[in-house]
Amino acid sequence: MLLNSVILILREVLEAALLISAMLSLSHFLKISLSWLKWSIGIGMLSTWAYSSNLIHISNWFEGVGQEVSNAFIQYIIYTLLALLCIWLIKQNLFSRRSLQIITWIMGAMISLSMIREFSEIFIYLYVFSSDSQQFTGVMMGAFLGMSIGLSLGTLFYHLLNYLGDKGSLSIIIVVLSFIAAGMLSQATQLLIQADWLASQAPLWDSSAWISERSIVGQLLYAVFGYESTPSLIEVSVYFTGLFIILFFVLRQFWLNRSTIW
Amino acid sequence: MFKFKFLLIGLFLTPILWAKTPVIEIRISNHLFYPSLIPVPANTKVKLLISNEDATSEEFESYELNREKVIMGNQKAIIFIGPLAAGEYPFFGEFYPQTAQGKVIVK
Repeated sequence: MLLNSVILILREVLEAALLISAMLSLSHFLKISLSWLKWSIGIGMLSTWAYSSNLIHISNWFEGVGQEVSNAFIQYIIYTLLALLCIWLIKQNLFSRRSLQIITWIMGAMISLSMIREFSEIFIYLYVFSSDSQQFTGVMMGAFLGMSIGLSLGTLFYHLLNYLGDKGSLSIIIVVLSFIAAGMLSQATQLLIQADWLASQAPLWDSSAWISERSIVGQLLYAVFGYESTPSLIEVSVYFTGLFIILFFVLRQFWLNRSTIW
Repeated sequence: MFKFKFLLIGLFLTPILWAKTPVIEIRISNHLFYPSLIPVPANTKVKLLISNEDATSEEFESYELNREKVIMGNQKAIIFIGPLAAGEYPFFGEFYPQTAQGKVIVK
């Protein structure tokens, strides 16, 4: 049970940990105080509890596919917030008080939302075993280990982004955020396919023999690039469309800035 | 051009037309799937209706099917799968993976 618990918790924590790391790195770069994080995590925990407690009702929405639709909706909002953040980061008056306030709000909302998506399953999982005295210790130890590994990988990611950020300015962080955002869009599409709101299609390829989604590398690639070993055409199309939309607006803003300067 | 636009809209936005989708019922009891082997016709969309008869929640998970859904205790859940090519697609209950295991067998 310990190993199952490690794997389950790590999978859920990893994506949120990497997103939080990216936001912390951005805070570091922009010299924003980290006081926003405790509010964001607090609201995220409360929202996760409310979501998990009402999952029975939520699951019954939309003729039984409420879970998929609500999760997809959360992913779409996170994508939109990440896109807005990337575009905002190119603005000229980035370090103005108002600009930094907006960035802080966006980061806070995004972390709270990603916690609902990722941590609600952990809540339910731990609740299941809370009344099972035989297995609870193993589950909790596994949860602790999974959480620790996830946070360690998040810390590594944070330092890597800081290093790259110092070397290559903000553009590196924007590119990483764009990939995470596109991955969110692809995951949302997958959920709507599962709900039968979008047509299911045959996979374009199968790379599971090279990189399994079960492996740590697969999980990391999933968290950063939305990796799927058997993606369909619609998922791949949505991924690249989402990526290009952000990069288009970022580059447009970049050229607008240049033309204003010159 | 019009046809191309129409094709794109069809590809991305149109949910599948509500043709009769076969329903396959699965039970979760004592952290086991019944039946654990699910025969499914190839290239056919199928609706899995999963009843969790246990008091505890379970999560239906399959990397091969790209499906993941929490099913609360004493509740039912719907998961659409397919159309699939012939082959075997394992699934498991993520909360009790040692016992809750099954396979969708597509022929």
